[in-house]
Amino acid sequence: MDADAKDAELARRAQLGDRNAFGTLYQRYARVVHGILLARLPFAVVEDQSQEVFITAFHRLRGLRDPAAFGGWLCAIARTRAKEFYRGVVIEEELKEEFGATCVNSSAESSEALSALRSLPETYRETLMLRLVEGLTGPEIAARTGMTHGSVRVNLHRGMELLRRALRKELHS
Amino acid sequence: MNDYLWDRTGRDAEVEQIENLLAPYRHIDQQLEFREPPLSPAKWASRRYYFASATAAVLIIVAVISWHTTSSKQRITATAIIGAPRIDEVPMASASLDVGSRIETGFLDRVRIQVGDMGWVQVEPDSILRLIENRPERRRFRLEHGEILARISAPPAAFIVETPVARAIDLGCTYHLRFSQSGEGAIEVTEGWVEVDRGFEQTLVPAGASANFRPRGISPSYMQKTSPEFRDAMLEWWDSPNPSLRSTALARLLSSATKQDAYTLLNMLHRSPPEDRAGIYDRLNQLVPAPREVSRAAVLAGEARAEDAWWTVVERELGLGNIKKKGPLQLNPYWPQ
Repeated sequence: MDADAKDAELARRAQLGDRNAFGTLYQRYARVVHGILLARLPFAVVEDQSQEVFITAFHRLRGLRDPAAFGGWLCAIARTRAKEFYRGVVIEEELKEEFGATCVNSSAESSEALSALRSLPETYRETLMLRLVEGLTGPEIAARTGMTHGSVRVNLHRGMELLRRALRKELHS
Repeated sequence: MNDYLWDRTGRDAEVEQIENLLAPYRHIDQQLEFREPPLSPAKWASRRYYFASATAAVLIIVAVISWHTTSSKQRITATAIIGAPRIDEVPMASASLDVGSRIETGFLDRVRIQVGDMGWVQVEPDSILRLIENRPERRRFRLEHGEILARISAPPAAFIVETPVARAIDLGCTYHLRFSQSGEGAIEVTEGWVEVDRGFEQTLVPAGASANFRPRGISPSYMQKTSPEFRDAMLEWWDSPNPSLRSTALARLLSSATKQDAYTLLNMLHRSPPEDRAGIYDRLNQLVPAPREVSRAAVLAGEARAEDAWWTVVERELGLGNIKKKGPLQLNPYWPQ
């Protein structure tokens, strides 16, 4: 069934118009897309942009030649979406929401931790966002994004070291 | 071996604590909303009604696109890249700016401002920037303190950033502008040219060059790749009120100057006291010989426009002539306000 089906099979069925298959892919990748966007965009717009990424992916799915590459392809759409946001393609919609307004449970410490994480170089920031915010394990990050286990492991450990330094710096200041 | 960071095996109190802090930002499961539901055929039973509606819809879309295109070319919008900047005292993710709008960033905040169709300005941490003029032909900001990165493509003097002691007039360029609360500032240009002026004092800064400014004036522009010896001596010559220190600094800078510093020496020449001019002239003449029409006697006498022809030669020799500079400049057209 869907729960056991491989991503490639789900992507192939979704290409034929099976929305349930795409729904399963959405459940599997929602945290990945959310993490990639959160590494680049204000929190207040991440949920909306995440939905847009999946809708874009659904409409472009027929153009995906290798269904086994769905994960990396979707991540690329999410990164492009974040870039477009800053190119003014999306900001013209004039977001009215106050920063952080939807994050009712966040504290000042949470906000500082997110700021410290966002201050890291992009490579480490994205991998750590998926691990520390979205709760994916290293092997899951590798499987979903198409990175090798070695790359993910290096990003996690080097990124964590930089994050410790950034948090210490915030603590001192 | 247990590695909690990698696969959640074992324990790591520090990582768990950070996870808990970041938990409020985690994705919350929700249904994907397909916002383009299939059309109901029943609604479109009448072909005439369909074409009338379609025509009206097309006209509305054209009108909306036309309005949106025009207004978006003029609109100035600010969007937080990172952190929680304050726009008009309120933490915001994104906002349209009006004249008087004030953007304040904390030590971890960054804001990107889209300046209509001119380009964009990035406000760096610990900065305060205000929009003080917004007309299609000119956008003017005031940097109270902090740092901005501006990337602008507009006619000369259409984009201006003021600071309390000097202002940067864009000539189609990319630059960093810093101004500290103690009243010191600097500009680093990476593309095009920027004119920095203060009262009737003016310095043109090309790509690859910088200039400093203080309440007492603007430094000659200097190449970012110049030697530290030359740069430090030149800034001491410019900044020191002590004549003997200035004289020593002048000797140091002349001995360490290379061809790339010719533009700085030419900048110094027309603003130096009479006693310094001969040394500057002779060193510059060694590095980039003066054209025939530039008379040493006229330059040393401080005659107006005596060294004009030398600018073209120096710019050509240093490759500065290839940097795009738009249109003729007018001295101080808008200062003081």
